[in-house]
Amino acid sequence: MNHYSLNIAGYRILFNGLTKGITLVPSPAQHSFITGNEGYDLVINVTRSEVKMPHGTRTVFRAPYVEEINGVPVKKNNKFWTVLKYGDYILIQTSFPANEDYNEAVVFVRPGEKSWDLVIDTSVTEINPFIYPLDGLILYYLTALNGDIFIHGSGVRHKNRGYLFTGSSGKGKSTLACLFSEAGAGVIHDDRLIIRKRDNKYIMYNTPVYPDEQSSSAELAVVYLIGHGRENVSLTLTHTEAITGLMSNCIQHHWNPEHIGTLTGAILSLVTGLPVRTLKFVPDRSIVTFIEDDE
Amino acid sequence: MINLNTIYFRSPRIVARKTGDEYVLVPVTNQIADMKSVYTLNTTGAFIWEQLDGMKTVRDIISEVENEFEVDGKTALNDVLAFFHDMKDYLIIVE
Repeated sequence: MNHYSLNIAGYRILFNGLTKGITLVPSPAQHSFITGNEGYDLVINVTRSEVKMPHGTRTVFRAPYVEEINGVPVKKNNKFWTVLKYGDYILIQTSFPANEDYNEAVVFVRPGEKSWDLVIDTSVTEINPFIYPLDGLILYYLTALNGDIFIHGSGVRHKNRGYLFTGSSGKGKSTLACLFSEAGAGVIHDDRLIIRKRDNKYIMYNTPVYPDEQSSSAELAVVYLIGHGRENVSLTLTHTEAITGLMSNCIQHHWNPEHIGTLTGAILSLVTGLPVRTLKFVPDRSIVTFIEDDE
Repeated sequence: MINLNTIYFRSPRIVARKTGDEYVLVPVTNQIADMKSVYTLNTTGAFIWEQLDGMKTVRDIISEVENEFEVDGKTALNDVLAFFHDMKDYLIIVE
């Protein structure tokens, strides 16, 4: 097909192939997010071509390619993806170290506009326009420009309450998701979530990551900043402590003061509206009961 | 060394968000490795931050702290100098 659309966190995104002879192919992780052809929040026009950057671009942010080996981040390459400014446009240029079929790509992000461009230099004609790292980069700019929070965390819906467990790698996000799942909870996601404020409620959404994952969401009730401990202990945080902790776990590109201001504003709103606590926990089923009683 | 007659400015590469009587300060950066640095200012630090209006010298700010928090001159001097030392080191304020 030359086009398909996804509904991610309530955003309807149309991928529209412009080059003759290419087919846009969603990965299995995207299947449950595919939606119908009604109104779009964002159209991404996809062209298969050599990447040529316009003259006058300015690099504003660089990310190296880092692989986690035995839980330790190891820098494999200095160049992975780069953010550039070109007038009012934001250009995201990336390579694909984990995929030999894709050479390079650039996303032309137009803040305030509903139409972006994606140019992919690839040897294949069946193109996944949302392939790693394009998925995270597109979602980051979509959410950052709309005042949402894109955060490292696991989210569960347990007995009609939504809990977010946020922390960096190794803090226990997946462990908590697993323990709650065993106790009958629905897992929204175990690694990253989008949080949007809708009708004065905070809703957490999953994004396509794992094959055949179902699109899901839940209203948030409590946010926990997690870490392993010798016993289950939770403490309420001040607004300042909560903002600082949450900022550290957000997916963020801090080159743009306006985006930083928007994110800190969104987090301030969240910590004002919801309880945010630290949680040190023992990785066994006792934590589920502890959380149920922790209110 | 902090010169009491110097006027310091808030760095344009810092985004400040006030929450109650405190501030969260987030540096603007161009590398992913720097992104975990987020600073906070307590009530005294927040007050000093708000005095950085591009006109007041360090000496003026010491005097403002003395009045605002009703502390003696030595305490105010120590608090303000400690603030400026830290903030200068982290490039949160500039001359």
